[in-house]
Parts: sequence; structure tokens; C-alpha cells
Amino acid sequence: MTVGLSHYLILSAALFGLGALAAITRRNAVAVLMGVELMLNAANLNFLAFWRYLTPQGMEAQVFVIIGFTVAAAEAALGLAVVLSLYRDFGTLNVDEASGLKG
Amino acid sequence: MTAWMLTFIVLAPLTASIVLLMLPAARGLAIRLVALAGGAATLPPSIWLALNYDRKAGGFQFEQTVSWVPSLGITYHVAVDGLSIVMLLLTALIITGGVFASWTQKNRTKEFLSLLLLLVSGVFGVFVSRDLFFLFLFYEIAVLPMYLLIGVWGTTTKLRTKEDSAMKLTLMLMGGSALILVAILALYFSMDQRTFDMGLLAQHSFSPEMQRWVFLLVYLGFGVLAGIFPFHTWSPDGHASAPTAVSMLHAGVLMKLGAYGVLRVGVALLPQGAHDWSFLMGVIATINILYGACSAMGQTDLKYVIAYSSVSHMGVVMLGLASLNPIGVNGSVMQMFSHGIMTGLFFALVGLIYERAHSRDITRMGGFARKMPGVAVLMSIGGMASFGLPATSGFIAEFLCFYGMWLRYPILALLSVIGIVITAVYVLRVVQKIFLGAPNEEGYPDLRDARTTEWVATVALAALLIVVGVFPRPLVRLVDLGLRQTPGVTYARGAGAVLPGGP
Amino acid sequence: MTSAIGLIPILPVAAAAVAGFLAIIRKAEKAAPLFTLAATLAAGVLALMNMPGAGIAPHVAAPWVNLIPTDAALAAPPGPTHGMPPGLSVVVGVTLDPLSWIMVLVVCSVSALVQIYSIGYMAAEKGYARYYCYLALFTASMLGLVTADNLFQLYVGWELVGVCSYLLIGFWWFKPSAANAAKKAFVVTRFGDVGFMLGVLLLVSVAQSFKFTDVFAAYQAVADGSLAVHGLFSAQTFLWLAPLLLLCGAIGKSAQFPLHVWLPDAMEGPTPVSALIHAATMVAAGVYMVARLILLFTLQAGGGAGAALDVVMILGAVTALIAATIALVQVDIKKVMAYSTISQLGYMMVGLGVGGATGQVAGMFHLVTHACFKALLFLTAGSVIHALHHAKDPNDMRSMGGLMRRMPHTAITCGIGVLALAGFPLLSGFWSKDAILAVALQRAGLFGHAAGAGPHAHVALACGVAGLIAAFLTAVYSARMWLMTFWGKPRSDEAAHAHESPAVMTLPLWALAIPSVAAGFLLAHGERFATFVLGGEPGPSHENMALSIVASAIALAGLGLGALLYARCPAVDPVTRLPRPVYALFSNLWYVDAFWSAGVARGSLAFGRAVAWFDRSVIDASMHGIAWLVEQAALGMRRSVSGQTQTYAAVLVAGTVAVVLLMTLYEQVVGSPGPAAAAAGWMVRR
Repeated sequence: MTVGLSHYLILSAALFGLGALAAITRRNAVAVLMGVELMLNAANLNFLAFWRYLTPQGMEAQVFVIIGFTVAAAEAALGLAVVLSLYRDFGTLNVDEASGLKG
Repeated sequence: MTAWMLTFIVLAPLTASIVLLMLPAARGLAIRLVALAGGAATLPPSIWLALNYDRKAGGFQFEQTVSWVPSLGITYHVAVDGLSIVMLLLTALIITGGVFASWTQKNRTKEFLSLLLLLVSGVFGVFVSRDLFFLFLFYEIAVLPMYLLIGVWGTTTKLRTKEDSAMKLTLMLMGGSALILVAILALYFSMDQRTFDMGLLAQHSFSPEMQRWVFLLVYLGFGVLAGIFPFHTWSPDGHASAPTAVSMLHAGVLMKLGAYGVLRVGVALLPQGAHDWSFLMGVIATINILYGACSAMGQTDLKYVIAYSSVSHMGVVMLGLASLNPIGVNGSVMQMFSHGIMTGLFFALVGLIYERAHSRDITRMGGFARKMPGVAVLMSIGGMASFGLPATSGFIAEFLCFYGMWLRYPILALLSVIGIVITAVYVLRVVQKIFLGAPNEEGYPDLRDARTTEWVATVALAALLIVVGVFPRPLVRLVDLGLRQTPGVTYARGAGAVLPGGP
Repeated sequence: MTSAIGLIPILPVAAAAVAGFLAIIRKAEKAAPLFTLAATLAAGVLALMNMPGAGIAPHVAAPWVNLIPTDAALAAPPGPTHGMPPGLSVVVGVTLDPLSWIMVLVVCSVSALVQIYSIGYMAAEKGYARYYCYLALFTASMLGLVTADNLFQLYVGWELVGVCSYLLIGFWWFKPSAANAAKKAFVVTRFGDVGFMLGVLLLVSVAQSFKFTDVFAAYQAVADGSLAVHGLFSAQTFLWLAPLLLLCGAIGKSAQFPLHVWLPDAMEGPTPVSALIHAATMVAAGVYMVARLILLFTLQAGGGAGAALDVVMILGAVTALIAATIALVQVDIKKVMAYSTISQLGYMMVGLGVGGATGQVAGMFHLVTHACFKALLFLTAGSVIHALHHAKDPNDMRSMGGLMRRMPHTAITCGIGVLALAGFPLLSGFWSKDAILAVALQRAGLFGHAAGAGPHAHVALACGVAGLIAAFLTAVYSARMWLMTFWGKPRSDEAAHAHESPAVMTLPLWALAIPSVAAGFLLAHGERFATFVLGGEPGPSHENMALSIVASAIALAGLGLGALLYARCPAVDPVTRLPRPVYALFSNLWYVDAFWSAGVARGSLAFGRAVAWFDRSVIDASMHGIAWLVEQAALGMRRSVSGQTQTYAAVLVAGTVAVVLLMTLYEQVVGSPGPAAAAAGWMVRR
């Protein structure tokens, strides 16, 4: 059995699903952030898999992945800053209590 | 050089608007002069266009085309025909007058004038656009600043706060915009070629079924701005709350965008649809005329009287339009011009009266003609144009509208002519209550006639009403040239349309 | 010289501009009459120099608006025309055919005399130049009206004289009564103008031209059946409706029942204005219009009897009779004259109602003589009022009396006017009134016989008899008016100390008194007039000695009765001794005013308020109702906005999954991509 495109896609889907689950269900803001990182990396994995199996001659996917990494890094920095100020304002990391958007 | 003329007209107020924002607020005179320059700079090119329009050739001239988003078929395409030139003239006159009328405005003058000019640049844009995308874009630019202009600088009346009026006006007009957007997209997507160009769209014959429904969208969407019954209710509250220059622009020019849109987007692109709905348009216009006039008769607040009279007069515009023949539609455009000037004059004068009397309740006024004879004379001239007196521009306009409608649906012409009596009643009532009778000046210590800058706009507008009324020929001809080549404006009695009272 | 006649209406406009300028700068106001008078006289001289001859009518014209494309490329109208006109062309100009020429002379001469008279009458008034500006504007508008050769210009002049009348009635704008009267006059006549405008629209849409001659031809063609009528009406309806719609305009402008109510109120204006506008010229415009378009009223008669002519005649007779009865009981000297004017205008309508050239000549003849003696009467009334201007109510005849001795010129000229009005034998009014009665009664088969188309004989008989009764009443109230004013002893201090007016005012009186006496002779009992109006053909003579004797007897009887009752200056006015219900009816103006003011005017204002309320409480409220619904819906949906970002994300994910599942399912079941997938595909392909 060779490892094909679908294996990568299944792995990526699983990764995305886990990430989404974490982002939606975890109460701790830091854990939510980690979930988001997982989802981003699932997307990166998809990019690379499609590149490798469908268009190996192009470079676009790699470029996107690098952009993705960068965005993830920036997002992590920004996200942690948000988490910090969240903690400062609400005295907790529990996202349920930060409901400033409530209509 | 001539290719840039139209773009110049659009950009001049916009540039002034931006420059104004950069000026320090303390430089009052500089701010006013820049605003005046931005507004008045559009006047000479508009006159130039009117004089240099090639009457032999007709059609759209002074064209400029710049491809903008080729993949979506969006092009910056501007051009004017005789009809648009008349509207450009009107807008240029009203904005110049409007700047003069806000000369004594004190609160945040800079921002006020800046928004006013932004709005006008949108209006100019609509009148010159030949591309639906840009037409819609300019349309929104013209409509949106009104929210701030009324919400911030307006006056709260007994019935509505200025914020309420501003919100109501904006929401209702946005509702109309939504319909227009749908209609524009429907046209766009039903062509094989992806283009927003109105010239190209006009050459395509859309299916009758589609024309019927898209025209209805266009009519309702633009009609809200033209104040068609029952979507006119934003207008009295909006006008009553708005500051003088804003009322002038809004009733004078902006409401015309609605009628202009119905003509350019509706009738010209969807002729069959227009013919299918012309009876409905005529009926609504007749209701507008009579209903607006009757409502005006029942008002005691001066601005409400004028606002309802606008509803009535826009009814005349829509009546001429609904006739769909060159005579009636010509009358419609002339009425747009005439009513624009007249209502600009009215609101300028009402602003003056309000400033001096600190009241707009006509039942408590009387005999003001002694202290403000000039204002009284100018108001009477406006009033006479309003009820279509010969030798004022209102006459030729109304006559053509009624005659055009008579040729199409005599019964509607018959009913709407009654409006001329009701109009005379409320105009003369207002003139009498304010200016005539025993002088009642005790409660009004500040009454005095207009002064320097206030004369400029009002006298010019009043003079124009008479000049156009006595020599309407050049303007009528310009409009006629535009209409001769507008699809949908024909002598045919709508093929397939139900013709109550027709042959 | 012919082209110079174009200046006839333009000169007074220019003079009005000068006077208006003087009024604005408030300097040299006394110079205003120089300009306006010169312009008026010049217009009159121009007309005199261009007298129309047999078959020649001096004419100049200029296009005003042209919607008929001249370029070949644009000429072909897009699509079928369905019998519609290719466009619209309006030509304005000055045409001096006999009818116009006579009117121009009447307008110019009366206007000039009134302007001279006003130099004295208005000397102490503020707004002197403004007054002359309005007068000149009026003169210009009236000249434009009467020199029109097309319906359009006629309508334009029609509206302009109306607005000048508004301005002049409201000249003393600070008097609430004057402001009200001005508004009433304008609105009431405008009421009739709606009909006029519709008539113009109807005729023009059929004739496709505004020119009178084209309109007549088209009308004839419709009557013959060679031209179809498109639109709302059948040819038959068109034939009677068009003239009646036009008549509506005449009813308003010429103050015919039931729209006559504005004219007595219009007496709020300065008296010379009443003489010019509300006696001699503007109110005669309706009569002039019917005379000018008499073919429309007559042609339709076709077989010999026409509904339109019946209406004209009945209307005229009713107006003549009702107004005469009201004039009988008025105590305000100007009101007596106002109702007298209404009554005489009714007379003219009776004459016109005979139809054809006969009616045209009879109506116009009375118009001309009436212009002379009624202008004279108003000016004499003005002279009296001027002399009594310190009195509480200078118009009230009950406080006059005995002015004969103090104001001999006024009294004598007024006496001449009164006799002419009453139809005293051989004075101008006698001939013209006689002509009207003769044609009406001859149509009924009395005192001769009339041929050709016309009203029904019994209508003509009834109206002729009504005319005779009105003639009697006219004589009575004329005598009453003169005797109450000038005879006996003064009934107030002001009357006892009155002085004759200055020469500038009495000279115009004499100038009008001469034609009031002699116009009948000058025009050779109306026959020379008829010959001229009909363009050279001698008109049929309608003189009938028997009728003349009857009419003279009636006039003399009326004057005698008036003299009998009033010569001894009774303390109690004899008319108040009329049977109570009759007197009440007369003095309450037959309740027509009450109907209009209480019923229509108040009703329409209430209706306006009701509509305003409806707009606010129903239409606007329903708009707000929609906003309220949206707001309520938003408040409901607001609960879903928990503020929990994670909930949003969960919904987002669930939604995406659901859409993908649905798309897949659709494809599995139907076998082709669904609309959503197609849309997605379209976006990808772009």
C-alpha cells in the first residue's frame, strides 16, 4: 500500500476537525488559539499534498504555505496579545465570560 | 480637452470637498470661497456644453471612456446628450446658489460644505455616466451624505427629531437602492457580453417578461427618490429637518435623479417594460399631483408646505414621463429643470424667513411684505412658476406634460389638471398668510429684507424662472434632441399594454 | 409698417419694466405714468395705422416652441404614430383682424384714460410706480390675448390677465379684505381655467395645431366624419364637449353664474382698476373668446339646434337676471356696478348664444358699448369715492346724496352712463342691447325671423324674455343708484363738503361720456360695426321698429319707476319693502356666495387637512410600521447573538458541513450538479 493523496487529505481533515473542535469547545483562550493553529496547519498540509500530487511543477502552493506560516506566526503573536489583554480586563482566561459582543 | 470636460465637472466639487477638509476650521472666508469655487466652477463648463453641443448630430457627445475593470466589463464611460446637459445646468445653478444660501452657516461650516460638494459631485456623476456601475456608484455618493447633512446640521421639528428624519430618509432611499442594484445585476447577467455600458445594453432587446419585472424594480427603486406615492413620506420630514442648502439640493436636484434614473435606466433600456407599466406610472403620478397638493393645502409649517408641493410637482414630472412620447417626456424634463430652480428658490427664501422670524408657522405670520418686500416679490414669482403661470418656466413644462399625457391617457390628464387649481390655492394661501394682510410684526423683531449674498442666488434663480418661461425654446430643443434618440420614448401607444380610454 | 404691430404688446411690457424699476428704487415714481401712458398710446396708434381691410389682416409671428424636428435624420418618429401628431409647434404673434382690432382699440383707449385718471386718483398712494407697472403689465397681457390667432397665445394671455388682476385687486395688500379678494378672484377664475385648458388640450390633440383656422377646420372635419377622434371621447361627445370646456373658462373669467362670486369682491381694488379690468376689458375676455371661437359653438349645431349654444344662452340669461336682482338691493356703489357688470356680461352671452355671425356681432357690439359706459360709470364712482375718502365707508350710497350740486361734472357724466346702461333711447347701450334682444327674439320667431344654425327656439324665447325683464331691472337700479348718489340732500357731513375732482380725473369722464352717447350712431346702429367685423360683408339688419319701441318703453318704465321711488329721497330704501323672502334672497346674493365660501372653500380646506392627517397617520405610519416590524424582528433575532464567539464558530462549521452535504446529496439523487454547485462552478470558471 502506497501513501496517496487521499491519505494526506484524510489526515488533514482529521487535523482540521480536531482543531475546529478545540477552537469551539475549549474554554481556555490559549487552548482556543492552539485549535486555530491546528486548523491553519491542516490547510497547509492540504496545499502541500495537492501540490505534490497534482501540480508538482508549480510553486504556488509552497508560496501559499509560507504565507500561511507567516500568518500563523503573526496570528499567534496577535492572539496572545489579545489573550493577555483579555486576562487583564476580565481577570480570567475563560472565553465564556468575555461576551462583550452580546447583542 | 473637450473629452475631459465632463470629468472636470464631476471632479471639481470633489476636489473642493477634499481641499476643504484640509483647511483649518478658523479660516471662515477661505472655506466659503473654496466651496464657492468648487460649486461655481461647474457652471461655465455646463454652459459651454450647452452652447457647443452639436445639434445637427444629436446623440451622446463629449464622450470619454477609460477601461476600469475590463474582466467585469466596468468602464468609466461618460457622455452627455441634450437632456443630460439641461440637468447639468440645473445642478450647477443649484449648487452655486446653495453655497450662497449657506454663506451665513456657522456650525462646522467646513465639514458641512465639504459634504455638500461631495454630494453634488455624485449628482453630476449620475448625470454624465453611461456605465451602470458608475451610475450606481455616483448615485450612492449622491444619496449617502444626506444622512450626515440632516442628522448633524438639521433642525428638529415638532413632529420628528432631525436624527429620525435623517434615518428615515436614508433607509427608504437605501431600500430603493437595493432594488436598483438587483435590476442592474439582472441586466448585467442576462447579456452574453459582460458589460455595464448603457449604450450596449440599450442595443440588446431583453425578453418582454424580463423587461416587465426589471422595469418595475427600476421604477420603484428610483421612484422612491422621485417621491412616488406611497414612498414619498421621507420627503416632507427630510425637507423640513434639513438645513436650507440641503433642502435646496435635495428637492432641487436629488429628487430629479429618481426621475432621471427611471428615464435612463428604465425607459431607455427597457422600452417594452416601460410601456407595460405606463398606466400604473400615470396613475401614481396623478395621485402624487392631487394628493401632494391637497396635503400641502393642509399644512401650517412653511417647510412642510414646500415639501408637499415638491411631492405634487414631482408627480407632474412622473406624469410627463409616463406618457412615453417626446412631448410629455420633454415636459417632464422641463419640469425637472423648472421645479429644481423653483424649489431651490423656495427653500432659499424659506431659510431667510425662518432665520428672521424664528418660526415657520404660517398661521402666526402676516404682513411681512412691509419689512421684506424683496423676499415677498421673489416668493410670489416662485409661487407663480409653481402653479404654472405663463411667462414662467413652470407653464411650458406643465403644459407639455399634460398634453403628452392627454395623448396617451386622456383620463389621467383630465384628473391631474385639477392639480393646477389646488396648487394655486395653497401657493396663494401661503403668500397671503405670510406677506399680505395687516402687518403682524410684534413677535418678530428681526424681520428685514435679504442682504448682499442672499440676494445673489435668489434673484438669479427667480430671473431664470422668468427667462426660461419667456424663451423656453433653446432648452426645449436641447431636451428634444436627447429624447429623439431615446428608445422607449415614441409616439406609439404602448403595444400590448392595456389601454383604458385608449383607441 | 405692418411688422411694427409686433410691438403692440411689447411696448407696454417695456413700460412696465421701467415702472417696475422705478418702483424698486423708489425714486421718480411720479414719472411712471409717462412711460406707461406713452406705450399704451403708441400701441393704440400702431393699431390705428394698421386697420384691417377687406380680407387683409395685418399679421406678424415668431416661433416660440417647436417640437417638430426639422432635421431629416430626426424627423421620422420612432415607431408607428397611431394618428398622433409628429410634435408640437407654438407660434406667437400679433394678428389684427377686425375682431382683434376693435378689442385693441378698446383696451388701449380705456387703459389710457384710466391711466390719466389714476394720476389724480392715486396721487396720494404709496406704491405709485408699482401701480402703473401692474397696469402696463395688464395692458400688455390683454393686448397679447386679443391679438392671438391661436389657442395657445389666447390661453397665455388669459392666465396673465388673471394674475395682473390678482396683483391689482390686492394692490392694497395690507388690507386683509383686499388680500382675500385677490386670492378669491384668482382661484375662482382658475377653476374655470381648468375647463379651458382641457378644452384646449382636447381641440389641439384632434386638430394637431393651435391655430384658430386649423382648429375650425378640424372641428368641421370631425362634424363631417372625415376626421376621427382618438382617445377618451367619441366624435359626437367631442363636438359638444370641446366648446363647453372652453365655455368653462369664459364662465370664470367673464363672471358668469355660478362662478361670478369673485367679481363683486374684486371691488376691493382701486376703482380705476375696476373700471379697466373688472368692467371694460378683462371680464370681457370670456365674451371675446366665445365670440372668437363662435364657429365651434355654432358648427356643431349642424341640423339647426345646438346644445352648446343653448347652454351659452341660458347661462347668460340666468346670469343677467340674477345679477340684476342683486344689483337692485346693494348699497355699496361699486357693488351695484359690479353686479351690473355681471348682468351685462350675461347679456352679451345671450347675444352670443344666438350663434354664428349674428350672435358674434351682437355680443361684440354690446361688449364695446358696455366698455365705454361701464368704464365711465366706474370712473365716476371713483370720483365720488375720492371726494368722500374721509368717510367711514366711502362706498356706501346711504351716506351720499346731493352730490349733483357739488360735483357737477361727475354727476352729469354719471347720468349719461346710467342712461346708456339703462338703454335710454338712442344712447349707445340702447342700440347694443336692442341688437341682442332682437337677435334672440328673432331666433324665437318674434319680431322677424332668423335662418341657419342656432339655439332652440323655446330657449331663445325664454332667454329673450329674461333679457327684457333684466332690462327693466337694469333701468330701475340705474336710476336708484344715480338718484341715491347725486339727488336730494347730503346724508352725511362728508357728502355735504365734497368737492369736484381735479381736471385730470374729470376729463377722462367726458372722454368716455361722448362714445357712451354716440357709439350707437357712430357705428350706424350697429350695422357698420357688423360690416366691419364680418370683413366687408354687410351683416343682416336685425333692427325692428316694433321691438325698439318695446325696449324703449321698458327702459323708460324702469327709469320712471326708479325716479318715482327715489326722486324724493325716502328715508327708508324702498327695495327693503320687497316681500321678505324675495328681499332676503336678493340681499343674500341668491346664496351662491354662501355655497362657495361655506361649502366649497371651507370644505376643500378641511379636505386638505384631512389628507394631511391621512398622510401622516396612515401612509407615513405604515412606513414606520414596516420599520417597526423590522425592529421587532431584529429584537427577536438579537437573542441569537450571545457574544460567545465559539458559538458563532460552531454554527459556521455546522452550516458549511450542511451545505456541502446538501450539495452532495442533490448530486447523488438528481444526478446533476444543483444550482448552488452550478453557481460555484460559474464563479470558478470566471
